[in-house]
Amino acid sequence: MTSAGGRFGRRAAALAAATLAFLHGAGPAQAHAFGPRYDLPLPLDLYLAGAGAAVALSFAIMALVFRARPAEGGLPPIDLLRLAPVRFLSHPLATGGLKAVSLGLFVLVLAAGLFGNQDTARNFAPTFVWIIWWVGLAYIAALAGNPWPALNPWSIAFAGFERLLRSSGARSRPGFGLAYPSWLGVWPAVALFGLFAWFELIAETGIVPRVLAAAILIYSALTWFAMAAFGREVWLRHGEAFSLAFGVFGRFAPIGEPERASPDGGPAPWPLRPYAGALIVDRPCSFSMTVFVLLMLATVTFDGFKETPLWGDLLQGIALAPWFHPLIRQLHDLGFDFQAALETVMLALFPLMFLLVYLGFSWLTKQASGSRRPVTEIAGLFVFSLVPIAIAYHLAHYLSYLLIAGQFIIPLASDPFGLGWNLFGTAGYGVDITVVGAKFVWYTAVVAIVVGHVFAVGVAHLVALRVFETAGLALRSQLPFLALMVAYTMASLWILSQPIVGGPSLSTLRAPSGDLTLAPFEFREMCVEMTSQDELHYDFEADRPIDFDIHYHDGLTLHFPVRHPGIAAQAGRFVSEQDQSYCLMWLNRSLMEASLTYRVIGP
Amino acid sequence: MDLRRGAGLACLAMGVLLPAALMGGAVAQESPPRVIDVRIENREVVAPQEAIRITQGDVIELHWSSDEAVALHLHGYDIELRVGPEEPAAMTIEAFAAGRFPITGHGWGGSGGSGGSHDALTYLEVYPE
Repeated sequence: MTSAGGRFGRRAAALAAATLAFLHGAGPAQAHAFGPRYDLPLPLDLYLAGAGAAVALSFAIMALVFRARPAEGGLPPIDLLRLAPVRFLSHPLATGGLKAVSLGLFVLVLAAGLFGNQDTARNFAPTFVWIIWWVGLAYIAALAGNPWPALNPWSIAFAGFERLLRSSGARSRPGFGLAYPSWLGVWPAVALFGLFAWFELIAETGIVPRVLAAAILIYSALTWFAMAAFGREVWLRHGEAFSLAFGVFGRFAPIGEPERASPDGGPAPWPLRPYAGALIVDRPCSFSMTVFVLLMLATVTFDGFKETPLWGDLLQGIALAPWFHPLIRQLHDLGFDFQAALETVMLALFPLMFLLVYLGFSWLTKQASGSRRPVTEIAGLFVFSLVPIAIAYHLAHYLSYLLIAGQFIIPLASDPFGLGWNLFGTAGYGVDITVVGAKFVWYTAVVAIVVGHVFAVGVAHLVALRVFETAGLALRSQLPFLALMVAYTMASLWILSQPIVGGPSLSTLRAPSGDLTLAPFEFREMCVEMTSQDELHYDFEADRPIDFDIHYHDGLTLHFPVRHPGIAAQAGRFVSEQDQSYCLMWLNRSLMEASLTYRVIGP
Repeated sequence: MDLRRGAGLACLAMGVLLPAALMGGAVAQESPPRVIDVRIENREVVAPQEAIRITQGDVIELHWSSDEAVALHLHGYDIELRVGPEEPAAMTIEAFAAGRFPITGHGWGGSGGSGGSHDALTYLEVYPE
């Protein structure tokens, strides 16, 4: 009995403590995963079992699917509106309520971000936006059905504005009534999603409530302006990045989007279809849409890859390479955070690499099938078949994050502004770090990855059967894609088998004192967390003039409270102006090696 | 009838086995905890060089020694501990939750300030049984 009681007590204490740790903002500094992540890497035997199963099942599908052509059209979709509870849910009162809640949350996020406590962990906005909305909604969109068209606050607000104008007797549609140029495709969404990925994965300011709210306001203004210019529906289909992103995930889901209401005013059918059904297309999507899907897949993979030790070694290798030092020096002089700059370049290269590899495999498919379609058309036919692999990886990668870090929304709901309120009595809720077992996460991850792979191979095969002239050609066309999918699935499994490490620090010194040599253009830095008015003493002596500064990072840029180019020795005292991670940096800009002795007495 | 008798038997079995299991647990907990020595030099953990790996349910003691005063923080379990050159200290961990938990150092030099790096000194990896 005492044992059980003790265990409960310990657990309760640990839960309360976990909350405290989060509230103190402790933990590896990461842009996206700002909540705690305690995932264990996937064990080697599970990794190998998953990989083996993916390969074996690929061949099983090849053998099975090509036995017989599927009946034309497949299963007819079921109309969900035939079910009474669904009819009730789609009643204007219910959908209206849902829209009001969504709009309310949108306003709450903005208000909390702009006027609430600016401590990330005590403000509703960052946790709601990054964990509940972005990660959580993607789960719902992929596994159940895409709820975004019903919840999109930009669309709801603009539609309300249109209705208001109509009732006041204005023109039937607000705005400029411009025709959307067809050559623009979904390129605006590609650009906006790229910016969003940068904001999410690289700009560390994305978790600062006020910056997040400002970014949402800018995006809102842009969205409403574009809706006024081209029409709401047009912009939702071409430019609103999240409508397209959740739409891509939603193609996997069994619940489709309600079709447009019939002209006689009868209720529109709401289709229920098999999983992945909407990924099987018989007409190629546009090249811009192909790029959009690949951009999504690449950023999802990049997010995981940048937390692996290999990524850290890669960045470190680049940063320590002699050819890179002059570039770093230049970036530093221009006031750029070179790590953020380097990661930005990598984030831009990653989707380009995905695109090149994918187009290469599309070309191989064209060769293998002898098809006369252009490569971009083949690419547009098969790009959706890769989506299940990305969804499976997303589910596996974020499962414990969503279930553990997502719990912070419970206390935050009671105190969204971080002002000490307790609206629902949940402000003192402690996060339960045992809510999801490590084994459960591992097995779910491997099963999800293997199932995702099976869906991907199956979808690609069914598409091939629809678009290639004979079953033989279809079969041959699938060999390149099969290889690509196996590689993609292996990469996903490999990332899951790696320990999650925080963003690497380049050329960081940890020892408070020591001797070092700096090669030409080499730099070293020591970063110290300081609160406002903390004091720091330093002295150093070098055998030739070097650059010394104290800086801190703000997104892509650097700020220099102290800057001394070309000095050989200095002793000084530094008092911090704000809560920041300040870095002392020594940079050798001569063409000779420099030796340096330094000492830092921290706060 | 059979079903009910089966349920009765199951209850009986639980009544006998559960206390036995609990006692077994209690006995196991009384054995001395495993001790792992962790040494910090120049603000880095020099031993053990890899992450500290244990199994869920283990009770361990981390014996810390450091050449500089520092406040250690084991995340997740949220255990804090001060350690210095003249004052080695021990951290008892009853590993009830599996996961990979960073251990960070703050307030180097014993000033009690907030100085320190967010980089983990090392990790505690608790694997499921």
